Amino acid sequence: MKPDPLDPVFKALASSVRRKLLDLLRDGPLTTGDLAAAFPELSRYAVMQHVGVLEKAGLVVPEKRGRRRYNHLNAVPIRMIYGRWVSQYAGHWATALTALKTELEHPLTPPDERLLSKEPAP
Amino acid sequence: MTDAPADAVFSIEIDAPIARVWDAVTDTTAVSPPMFNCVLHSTLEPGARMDYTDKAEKRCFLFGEVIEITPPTRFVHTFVFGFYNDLPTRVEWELEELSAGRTRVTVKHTGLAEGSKTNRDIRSGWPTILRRFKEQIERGRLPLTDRIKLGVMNAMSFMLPKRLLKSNTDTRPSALPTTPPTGEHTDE
Repeated sequence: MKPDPLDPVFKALASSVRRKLLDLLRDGPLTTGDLAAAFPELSRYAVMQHVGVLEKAGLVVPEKRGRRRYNHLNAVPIRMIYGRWVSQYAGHWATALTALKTELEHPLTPPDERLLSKEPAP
Repeated sequence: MTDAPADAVFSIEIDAPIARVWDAVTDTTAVSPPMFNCVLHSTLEPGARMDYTDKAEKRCFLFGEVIEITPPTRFVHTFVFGFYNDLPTRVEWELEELSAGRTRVTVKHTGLAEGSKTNRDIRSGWPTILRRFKEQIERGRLPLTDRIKLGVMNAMSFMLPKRLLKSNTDTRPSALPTTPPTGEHTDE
């Protein structure tokens, strides 16, 4: 079997420390020092190792600015996982088709009830 | 000030030589399925205006101007969504050949105002665009679901607001805002 290009992504995500690192990067880039400070129980070296695994998987992209190295969360691999599995079943199209099916099967549902079953706007 | 990191970074690896990826990103001759079936109009010289329009050149969805262009590795330009009133932001494309036939594309976006619509939209926009470049370049076309979505968007284009008409976007500024002097002086 051909190796799946997403294998390293799943391997990288199979660690609670690495998932927490990604959570920390969700709001914006952080230096490796910032990340290490968030894990007082781990050595700086261990945190750097974890960041290295995330980088190899493409989940973290480093950016050098002056003497600092910032780590960015790269949402692209996660989006690709979403595109491959989730959106096929639960994406807009499934929602749209379900709505169409409801509309065609129950055209006389009172509008109030339809509003209640509708998802809140984002 | 140049030591500040980019506001958002997106990266993908594509199984293609760097020249092919560069040509796809900077193509001004045909519609670009990864760029929402827009055509890029520009001479691609520093300072030149860039407009991503529909095929008929009636509406402009995205515009900006070229800041720096170094084939086949670096393309820097300003970025304004036709839809919104946000100030111009800055996009850096970096292409890097990882091995013969494998290229990493990184997009760095800066100047995004906190809470702006541009900031919100690019977070999901760039991953979609980069994934579509990968699919288009590696397989020659987009997956069926993407093609259906683009087809539906095209069919609905009559509903788009007037502000997207190219005659309206043409008069909007594309230069980066000059940073107003702040109270903090670091030198002298």
